[in-house]
Amino acid sequence: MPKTFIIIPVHNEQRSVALVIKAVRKQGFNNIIVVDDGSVDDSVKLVQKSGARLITHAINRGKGAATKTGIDAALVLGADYLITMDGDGQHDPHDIPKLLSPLSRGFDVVLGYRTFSLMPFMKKIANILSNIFTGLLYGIWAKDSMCGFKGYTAGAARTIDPHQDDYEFENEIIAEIARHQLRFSQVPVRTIYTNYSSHKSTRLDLPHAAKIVYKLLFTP
Amino acid sequence: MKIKTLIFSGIWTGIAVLAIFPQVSHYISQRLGIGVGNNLNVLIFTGFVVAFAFIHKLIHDTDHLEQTITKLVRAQSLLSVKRNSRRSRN
Repeated sequence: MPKTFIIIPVHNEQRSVALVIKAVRKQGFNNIIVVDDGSVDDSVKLVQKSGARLITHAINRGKGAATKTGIDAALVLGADYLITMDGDGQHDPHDIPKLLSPLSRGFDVVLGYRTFSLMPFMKKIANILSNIFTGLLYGIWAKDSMCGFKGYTAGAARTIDPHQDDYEFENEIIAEIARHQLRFSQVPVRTIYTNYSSHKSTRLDLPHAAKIVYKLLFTP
Repeated sequence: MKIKTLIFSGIWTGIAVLAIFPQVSHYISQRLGIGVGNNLNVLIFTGFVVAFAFIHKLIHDTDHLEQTITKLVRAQSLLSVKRNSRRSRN
């Protein structure tokens, strides 16, 4: 039986993190790594109470950095398959087996994709632009390049070497898949847009998006 | 340190003089022979290139600094995981 680890990066997610952990457990996955990325709310206390494995960043370094820390920890702990998902409750743990299935069939990476029609308007625009940008730059036309619900085999997780700390991390994963010619599959995932997950502030505003594009284009 | 102070004092004094007496720039450009024909365009374009190079260097350095901080934060956070894993193997 392959050892599967669920990695959940969180930053100030006290409203959702305990529910996400509970829902993941309900699906039969007990190897849960929560990476707290410098939260200033009660996220840490709630994770400790839940009994999930907690790793903390002393200061906030971004979703990409937290995900990388979770991936490294899972590899140290002997994971065979790794699933990354958001801590705000927008990903449905029922979809975890759907992500694991292609991995057990020999794929290296599985990319979840959300239904764009249900997405808030501004997020939809940002995601479409990100897909076009990623496709032009790396030659992989991902259906949802910004989705954090992904699956990796341990081998792929060791091979992929992203450097970006924030949301551009998701685009970099696509770049790494192309660079290492990894076998990937895309599966539809359900997205739960609660009032909270739709309106929580992210750093995905226009200046930040411009910085992401600049960094992906001009930094090595 | 002294040379740096001198250079920066010179730059800021120059900016102050140009701000108070803008006609000085006209006098300087005539003396240097710029502002005639395409010379001014070349100068402006070069200015843009230099400014872009500075911004690029600045972003690159900031990025490098941020990545170094991230490396430290991540390494520190993974210490206990690695320690426990080693202990359980022994």
